[in-house]
Amino acid sequence: MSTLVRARHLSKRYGDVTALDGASFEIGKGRIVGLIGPNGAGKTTALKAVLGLTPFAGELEVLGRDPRRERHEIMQDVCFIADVATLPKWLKVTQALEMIDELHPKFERARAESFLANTTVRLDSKVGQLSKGMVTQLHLALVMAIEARLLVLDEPTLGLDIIYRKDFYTALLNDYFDQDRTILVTTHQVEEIEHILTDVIFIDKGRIILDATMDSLADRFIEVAVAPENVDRARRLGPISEREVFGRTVFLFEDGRPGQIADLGETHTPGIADLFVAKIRGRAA
Amino acid sequence: MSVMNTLVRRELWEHRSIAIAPLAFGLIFLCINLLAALGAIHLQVEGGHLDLSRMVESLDASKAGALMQIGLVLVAVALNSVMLLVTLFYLLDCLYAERKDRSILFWKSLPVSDASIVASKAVTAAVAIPLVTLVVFVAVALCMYLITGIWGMFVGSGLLLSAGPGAILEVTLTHAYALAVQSLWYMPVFGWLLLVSAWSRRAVLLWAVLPVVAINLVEHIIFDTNHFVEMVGRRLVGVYPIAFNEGRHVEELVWQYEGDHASVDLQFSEGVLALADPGRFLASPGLWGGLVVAALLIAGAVWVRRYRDET
Repeated sequence: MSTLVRARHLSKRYGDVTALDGASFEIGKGRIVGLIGPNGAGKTTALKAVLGLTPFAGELEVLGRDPRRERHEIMQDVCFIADVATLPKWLKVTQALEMIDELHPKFERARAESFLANTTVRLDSKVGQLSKGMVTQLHLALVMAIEARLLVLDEPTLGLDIIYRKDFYTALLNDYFDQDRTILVTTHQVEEIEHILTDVIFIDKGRIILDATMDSLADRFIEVAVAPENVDRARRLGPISEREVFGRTVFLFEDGRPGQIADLGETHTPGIADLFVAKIRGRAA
Repeated sequence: MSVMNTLVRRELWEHRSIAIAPLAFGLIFLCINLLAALGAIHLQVEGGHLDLSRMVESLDASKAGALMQIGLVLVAVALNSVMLLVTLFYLLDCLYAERKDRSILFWKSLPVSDASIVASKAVTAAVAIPLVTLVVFVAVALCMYLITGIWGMFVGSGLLLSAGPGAILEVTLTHAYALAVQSLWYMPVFGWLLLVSAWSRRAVLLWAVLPVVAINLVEHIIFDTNHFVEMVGRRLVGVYPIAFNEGRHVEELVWQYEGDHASVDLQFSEGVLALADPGRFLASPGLWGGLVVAALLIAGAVWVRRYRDET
């Protein structure tokens, strides 16, 4: 597996605020990586470092290049949507197609037009006349028509209706992603992208607190719903979190002994959201 | 080169006023011209009515050409003033608005370097805007020529019609020369405005002016001199005395009054193009020094756009 992004000890401060505190991670080719963290955890700063949009300390290689010095070369193969509504309002859809066609050597105009044909975006509209959801559809159509090696999405569906959010990720998965494409995405709505991710990275207070493939989560983490009489026994096994659900206590174990845990009650693999909360709370405690 | 074309075209898409402002003023001139020709309005000169038809009767071929040139120069000067205002606001806006509405993130997602983007804005200000203005000028000049020439036929002289093409060509060439020297001379001003536009968080116009006032204040307090502001003043208005000769031979209008009617006599020797002095302009240290300063300021704007992180 070739590595597209290699970050070592990334650090970044904005005045007194530490945005990145020695974060290290790697992103391999053909993966869909979710970078997940609470507000102010350093997600956006990490993405901006990868995209060469912000200065930082530490080592960072994107497609074998240094984004501080070789941003222009990197952007030939990297695409990004930095949250919604960054398309300029005065731009017409046809102008956007024409311009990107001339500026981006890896843009296929016909492909973008066929994506747009499946939406309600009219070619003669200005971006300013479109709804927020339509602007996102337009931006996604433009980006999906670029033969990029790495696609970076920073909260791409923030503030959109559920319908648009679903369609966004469906389109991304069905019409764009393949073995040669790699996607790095941050979002608050973890549940919505859980099923499309191959890897997950949790970030909190500028540090990486979990970096795992989705497949490995089932081996590493286990959740068990415990009846009241077994709660003390469960606590002695060292869970990383517990919460009450319908009179039972749900414990989450990391690298626990599955045999002993299975005796406590019904087990299953935790969802990303629960795992995320457990990991963040665990650090705060 | 095709990238630069695309980027400049994009500037014209975004900043429609670049074309609309000169067109609007051109139309105003045409309206005045047309109404005057139809006799709906009377031109007033120093309290007297200018009797155009009587003036036409006294024309000979060279005077007709000179009269056309004077009219066209007035239009060119007016369009130029409009253009400079448009350029000022364009440059202050071009790197500021994209940060304000965060569309800079979209532009930065395209494989176009910050140097190309900033260069495209400088090229827009120094080349594209003057070209648009020149095209508008030629269009307005041709219309005015037709209006005035046909009107001249009606009042009894074909001289305006025959002198027109030569006058339009001469004034257009002079206008093109003036626009070119003006752009070169103003490059450091353009560079400064680009830097302010890339750097300022708000109140761009204020930030463009404030440092000049502040530097002058400091200079005035410490040395009791005003060299800096004088230098800025020379930069703003000093190109014409260098690029054009003193107007000793220029056409002069001599107004003649009869009662409350004014008429005009032209003391004419050469056309306006003869006033251009490109040799003296190219030899002036102010031009080359200005270009060096401009390069530094534009490099500064590129640097700020590349490394500033505020989104």
